[in-house]
Amino acid sequence: MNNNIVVGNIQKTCFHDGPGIRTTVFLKGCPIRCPWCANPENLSLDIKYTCDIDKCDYNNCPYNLDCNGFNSNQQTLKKNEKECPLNAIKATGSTITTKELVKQLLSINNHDGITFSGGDPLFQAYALKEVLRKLKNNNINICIETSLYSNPNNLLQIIDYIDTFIIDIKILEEKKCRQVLNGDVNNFYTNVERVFEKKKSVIFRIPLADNLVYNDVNVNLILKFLKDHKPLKVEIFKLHNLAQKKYEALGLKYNFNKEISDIKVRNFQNMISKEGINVEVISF
Amino acid sequence: MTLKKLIPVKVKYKIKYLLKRARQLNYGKSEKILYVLKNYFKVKVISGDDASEKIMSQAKIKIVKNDNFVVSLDNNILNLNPKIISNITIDYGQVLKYSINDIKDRYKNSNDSYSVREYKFILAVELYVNKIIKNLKNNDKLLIDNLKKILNSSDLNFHQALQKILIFNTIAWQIGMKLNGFGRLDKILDSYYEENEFNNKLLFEFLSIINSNYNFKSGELLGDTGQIIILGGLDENEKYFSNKLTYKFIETLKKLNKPDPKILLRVSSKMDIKLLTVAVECIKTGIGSPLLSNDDVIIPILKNFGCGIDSYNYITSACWEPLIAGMSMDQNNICGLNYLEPLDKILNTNNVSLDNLEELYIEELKKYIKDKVNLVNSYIFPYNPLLSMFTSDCDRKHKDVSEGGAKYSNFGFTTAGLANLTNSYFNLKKYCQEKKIYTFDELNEKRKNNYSDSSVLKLLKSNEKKFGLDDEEVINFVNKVISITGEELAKYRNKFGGKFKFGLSSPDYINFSRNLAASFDGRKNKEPLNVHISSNYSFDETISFACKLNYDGLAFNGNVIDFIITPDYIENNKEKFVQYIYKSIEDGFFQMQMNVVSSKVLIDAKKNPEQYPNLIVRVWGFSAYFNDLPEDYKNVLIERALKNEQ
Repeated sequence: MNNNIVVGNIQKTCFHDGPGIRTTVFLKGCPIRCPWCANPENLSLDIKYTCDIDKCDYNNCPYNLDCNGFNSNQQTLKKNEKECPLNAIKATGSTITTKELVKQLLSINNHDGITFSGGDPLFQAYALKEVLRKLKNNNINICIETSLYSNPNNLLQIIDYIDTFIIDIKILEEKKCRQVLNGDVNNFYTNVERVFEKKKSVIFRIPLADNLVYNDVNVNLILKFLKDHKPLKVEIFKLHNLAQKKYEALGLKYNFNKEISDIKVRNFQNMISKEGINVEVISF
Repeated sequence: MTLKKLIPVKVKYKIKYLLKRARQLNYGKSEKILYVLKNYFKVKVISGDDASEKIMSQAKIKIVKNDNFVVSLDNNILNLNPKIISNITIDYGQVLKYSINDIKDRYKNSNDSYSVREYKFILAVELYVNKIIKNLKNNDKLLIDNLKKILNSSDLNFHQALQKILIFNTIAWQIGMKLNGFGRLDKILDSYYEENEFNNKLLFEFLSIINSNYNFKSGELLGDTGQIIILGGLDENEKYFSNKLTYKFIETLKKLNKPDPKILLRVSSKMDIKLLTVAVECIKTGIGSPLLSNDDVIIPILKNFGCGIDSYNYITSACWEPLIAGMSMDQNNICGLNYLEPLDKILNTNNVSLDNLEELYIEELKKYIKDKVNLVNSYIFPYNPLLSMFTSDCDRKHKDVSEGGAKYSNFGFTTAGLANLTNSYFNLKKYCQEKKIYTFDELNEKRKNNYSDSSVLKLLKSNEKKFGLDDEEVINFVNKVISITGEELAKYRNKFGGKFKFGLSSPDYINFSRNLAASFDGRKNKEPLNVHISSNYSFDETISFACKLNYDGLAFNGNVIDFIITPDYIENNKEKFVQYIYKSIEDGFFQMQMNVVSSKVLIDAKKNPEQYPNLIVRVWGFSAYFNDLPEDYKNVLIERALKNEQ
């Protein structure tokens, strides 16, 4: 089989994406829509083109391309991506064969393993399976960062190849989850059970979106969930607004506007810690 | 004949020296003149073959002491010949092995001119130490006893050993040697040190007193003293050597929190990661130290160069240029090469075109190297009896280090501008050859006009193929230039029969640019050249790139990756950051140094210097107070920090 896979980008030397130093592959496509998402360019499988205004502030290309710079439509930007002498046009990803992706990843060797992130890597589980199989044949440690909201069949495709799961815990109230994230929390619960049944290493990661994730009802649900599903550790982190520029470039609205207080972060850390769970506040 | 030429050399030398001192004090023009006039007759300049001996005899005792150590340095007596072999470290292992009496015995019965000179010099040293003793007061009994012991015995304790090192180090400064390092003090002092509170206090005081006479020891820039301590390293059995002192030196330097002295830690994939963690903790404070030097890469290259088993005992010149402790007089900073200079020369001729540019450049680079070789081979070095008595094989050959007495007598060039040359090449290739946006003549014209049209600069700077990118084509280009330089230098020998080597890190990135025209990389007239191995890419990209450069052969005279990182970044990723550095050792970087500081702090410090009296930064191979730096050096750091945070 030689499927195509849609890759956002590949980032070397990642410190927060699993054991040791990781190379992280951001795959495009995500089943849910978190208002605070830091990688909006990877939500959809579609590849979009943006023009960096810091590199090109021209309305008419001075280098004779049929391009109106940052005022151009997607078709024009796509056409000129490779031609732009200022390297101002960027694509939010590329479609490549799984074979090509494997080749690229095997050429990188100064890491402790590869992590698949996104989007959500389960969104392209069938193509990803091909990649993981070949990487595992090369004894590469595999980690996956996922919300586990995808169809449970997707998880089944890849679960055996994964060494470590980094699983987001977000909104566990069924109704609110559907309203805010457009996600089915029952998929999350089913998938988590499968991961624990297979006795995989699990790190839970909780993005502290004030009011949405951090509220009395959800915090209690999370604590109850953690009692029943003890991971290697829990990582909690404050959300930041560093993605603002990305949303602007993509013409998307950014709904995140409030950073959680340090006191709330510490309280939450203490609550988890009291359950006898290793918990760490991380920052990116 | 101009009036300037009529002024005697000694007078000029004195004035130059006093002007440097006045500059260090930040005096204005009229204050400088007054300072020179006021101090002119206080300064004495000594010349001749026996200058070192005369200086030791005539130097006034000017005591600097703390509770447990004493040194003396007369900053009003100078050696006229600035070419005295410097930028090297006396072998303090040898210094501790023999008492002054032992050394006298070594030479007293020989009549050859070398031995006579050495004997006279050691007598002058003995006299000098006795003068210090006389100048101490009765309540300095411990200091006096230690100095007496140094004169007569080689059976010293830790305290006396440190005191002896300080005395001989100060003698080196006194006779006019510059950039005086300390060598592998953890190894040298291994048998003397026991961990206890008093010894740890001694270590703190030892490092504190090294920091004295900071202005006198500094070169043109305050902080450029070359007082480097080398720690750790592989031993002959390929096992990593470190001891309690290795850790203690790093911890004490961190506690001292001064830019000087500085530390170079020899690292290896065989070292304990705990030591690397301690080093990163020290680096995180922002003092710019330790610099990391990778034994796994350097030792095999030194072996191939011809240093055999001695390679395991390498130290470095003031910044990072490897040489063998106690066996070498290698002048590793004898001259700088600027890769843009030959390019600039051919661009000013009429027959240059895109087709013949590469060929003309290589030809001109070779001529340029030949000229530099001829220049440094014309240098005459004065006798250095101090260095000679502690350097093998001077005694065996009865030859001073300045006559080729040492086992190794090589010369090293430092280079700057390779990044600018690389980026120029890729800009010409992309914009003139591939995309044909400009003809070569058009772009050259714009360069000559210093890129008065800013859109050209925007274009030239937007090329994503640059020095520092882990890309096969970029790496191949850089390795090709390295290889041409190495092959050319291999054709020559220096006046002692020694070899020439070179490295990609140079202190000259600002000096070389002062009269240099704009270049195709988008550098305007007089703008600084790129710093060492650095780039605008992320630090891990630059490290991956640097790990793939070919340092074999002669390209090992210091190759430092230099990057700026914020303290928060290390704090938030401490454990992983250490793991990453460890992994990079395995990947094969040559050397690495970091400035741990944010652009916000640097910008604010430039505006409000009074609020940052203790802000330390790494400059080229040394650390300095940010406030002491000239504006152009401050600007380079700020610009690089801003780009790094983008």
